[in-house]
Amino acid sequence: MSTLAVLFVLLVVAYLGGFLMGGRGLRGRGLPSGSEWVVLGFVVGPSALGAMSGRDLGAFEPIAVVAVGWIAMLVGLEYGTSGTRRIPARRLVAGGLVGLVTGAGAAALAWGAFRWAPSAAAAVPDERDRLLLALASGAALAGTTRNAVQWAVDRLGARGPVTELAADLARGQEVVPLLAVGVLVFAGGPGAVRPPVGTGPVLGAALGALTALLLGREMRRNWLWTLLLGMSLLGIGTALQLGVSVALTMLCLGLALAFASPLRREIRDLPAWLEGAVVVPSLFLAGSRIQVRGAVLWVVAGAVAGRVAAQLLVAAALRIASPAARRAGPAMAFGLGAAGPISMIVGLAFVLRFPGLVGDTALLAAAAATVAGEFAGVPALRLALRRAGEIPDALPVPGEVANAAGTPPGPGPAARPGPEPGSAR
Amino acid sequence: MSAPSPAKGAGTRLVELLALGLLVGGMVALARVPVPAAGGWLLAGRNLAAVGFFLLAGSLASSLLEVLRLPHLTGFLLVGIVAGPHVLHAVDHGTVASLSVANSLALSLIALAGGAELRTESLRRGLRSLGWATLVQNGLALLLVPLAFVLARPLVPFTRGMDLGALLAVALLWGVVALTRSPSAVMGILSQARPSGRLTDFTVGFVMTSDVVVVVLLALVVTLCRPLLDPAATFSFGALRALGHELLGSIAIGTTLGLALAAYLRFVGRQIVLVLLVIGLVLVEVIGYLRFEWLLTFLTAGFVVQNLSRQGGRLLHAIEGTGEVVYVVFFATAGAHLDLPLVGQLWPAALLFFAVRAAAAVLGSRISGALAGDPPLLRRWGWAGLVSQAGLALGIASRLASEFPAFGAEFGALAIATVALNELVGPVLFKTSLDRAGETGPGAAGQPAAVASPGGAPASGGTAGPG
Repeated sequence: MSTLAVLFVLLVVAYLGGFLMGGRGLRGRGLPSGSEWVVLGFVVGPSALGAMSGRDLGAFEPIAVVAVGWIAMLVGLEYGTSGTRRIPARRLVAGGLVGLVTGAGAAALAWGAFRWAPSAAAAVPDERDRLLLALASGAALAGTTRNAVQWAVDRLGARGPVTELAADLARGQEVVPLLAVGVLVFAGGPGAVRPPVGTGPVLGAALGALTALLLGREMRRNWLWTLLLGMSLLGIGTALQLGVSVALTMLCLGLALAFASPLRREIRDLPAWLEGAVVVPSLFLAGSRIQVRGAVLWVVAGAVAGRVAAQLLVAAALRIASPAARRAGPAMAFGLGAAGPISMIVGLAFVLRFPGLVGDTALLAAAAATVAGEFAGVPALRLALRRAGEIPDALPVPGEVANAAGTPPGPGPAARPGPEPGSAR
Repeated sequence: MSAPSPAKGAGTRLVELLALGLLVGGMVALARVPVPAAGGWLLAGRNLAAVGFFLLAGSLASSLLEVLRLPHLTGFLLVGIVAGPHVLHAVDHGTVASLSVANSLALSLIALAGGAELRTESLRRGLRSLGWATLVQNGLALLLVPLAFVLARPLVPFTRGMDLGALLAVALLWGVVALTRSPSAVMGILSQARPSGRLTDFTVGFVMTSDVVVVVLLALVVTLCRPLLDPAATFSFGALRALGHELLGSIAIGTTLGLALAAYLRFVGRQIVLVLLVIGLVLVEVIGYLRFEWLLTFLTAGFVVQNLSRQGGRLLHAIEGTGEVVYVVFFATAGAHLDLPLVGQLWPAALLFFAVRAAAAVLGSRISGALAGDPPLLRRWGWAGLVSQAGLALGIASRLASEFPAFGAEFGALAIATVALNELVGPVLFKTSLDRAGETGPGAAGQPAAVASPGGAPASGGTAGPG
């Protein structure tokens, strides 16, 4: 397949992504983790059918970097909010802790796999590379996808305190893998001409503040798009040249813009279309970059097992701390196990930054967690929400859910508080 | 600035100026400090940063130039020139060359929008004016510009030593280059000022159709001149036959594309930006591979959507939503391309040819206006939109340079210097003429009461974002 054909495929995938996640029409269709796009990318990529060669894909690496940056910026823009609702700080902190514990668990068992699997140890003889690889895998598995919760809201009409809790924790978790990418990119990068510590965050924050300043107090959509596009490309390009993490830089840009601009609510409303059009091709590109290396399969298995073990711990802690989580039962442990776009984006960021074993392993771990989460995490979340009485017995007609959330028709499941449509994307 | 724009206070202007200074300073610093990135990532980083910088700095500069009533295009061009490889070196030659790849996207949008701006109703109403103008403007330019070229022989070093036949042939080729107009400049001004009226209709109609006229005349003139420049060459109409196939094929494909686009807008009507990207990035290559003229194809497609369906407004709206972003990058890159040292070397000849071409346009406007019975407004200002030149002129000059290598390099350099002047002055003239003719601003016929953003696009445009 030529570069032109790959471009066409990516545009078509973006087109479909815009429909699937754009907030109208087909919203709620497809798998919540987006793993079908990962699998599709893998199948047509160089590791399987070879319809797209590694060389063709190489031409699109800058696009992949831009996608990583944009998604990180969107996470920053939406951090701390769920639709129009502000997430309480304690839940954001709890989400961050959950991410840290999950990532640490995954990294610990990935590291342990080098001790138990001689083939893995032989493949990565250098201790520093092993540590980097384990931490990268842990970073990729540190998040829970909010798409799974959103899927439950859109498709199953879920709403209530457990749904809200799961959505809030997922939001709080999202920044952890992106922060980890920033730290690892800095620590693992070449040491010859290294910029000062904090260059990426400072750059992102400065660009975000400048965007807010230029945007002013009057909402002008075209001007906002010009600013967002210009600042994001400038930020991504500068981060690339300085050798700092694109994901962390753009996360800070989004955070600073949301913090500094009085128009933060209007800004957050805008990127829904962008998210769909960027996430889906990114998943496809990430899938096409997956390389299954036998030597590190144990490391991947260790990382996934570590993630599951950590989630069991988290679920136990949640049962103690939250009455709502108690009502959801033990299935909640696996319900928080659904991985998705953020994991894959982090994996993709590692592949682009650390091509070879480190990046490939992190991406493979992210893909394994995403696909496994689709089979285990999403059904478990559904079970937990059903047990908590937050999923109505009769499935709502797609399209009615949004209406129900916006203007509750009366008592009943639809009238209970819950994440707003679009709030847990 | 007659385009509808919110009044900006001194504070806002100061913030914009400071931000512009910060951005320029940051880019200059980034270009000078040693960075850890290398190879492909360094290039990718430079390209992405340059696009972002052009977008932001171009928008800010155009907003600041509103005070001087200058068109936004001038701001975009100035940012490119100042930050480009000939002045501050914030954006280097390699990056500018890389960004030029995106020109096809910009030009395809410009052609689509240009076609959609051609309404049969307006064309029918102005057919007499357009017909006379096409005949007189092109005839006069083909007469006066070559004449000036021959008379100014001492200013043109590469013509020394040529016999009269060869000199006449080169002068005629130069005349064809002078015939080219700039659809992109016209559409850029339209995107900013949203004018409406007789002058606007005339300029859009003339400039869009002039592409076809120039392509045909180029083939004719090259066929005639070749034996004069190359004694071994024989006279052949083979090129014209190929041209006929190319033009008819392009129109046929454009019609099909236009109908498909109209059906898409009617029955789906979403994700139009992505459809435009497919057209501008993928379809351009496919049509080029098939050896058809993609600009004419898209011009036809836009025309079909506008005149054979009810979706023209929707298409224009969608293009305008993204057009501003595309125009900023396109013109800033064009500005960075301008070879100022070359203009400095060749300025006497370039200035002379610029003046003769502009004079021919003014004279042609008066004569054709009188012949067609145009209103005084059109006779006075009809020439102003015809001065701009850009990519098409350079493209033709480059093609001629490769076809006639004996003098091609110098010919191309002179074209670059002359086009630079036309590119800088032309948009200002067109914008001023529209202002003077009263076709811009809230009072103009059909002018929506939109609010221009600092980037120049209306905030009330509906499909503002890529959605």
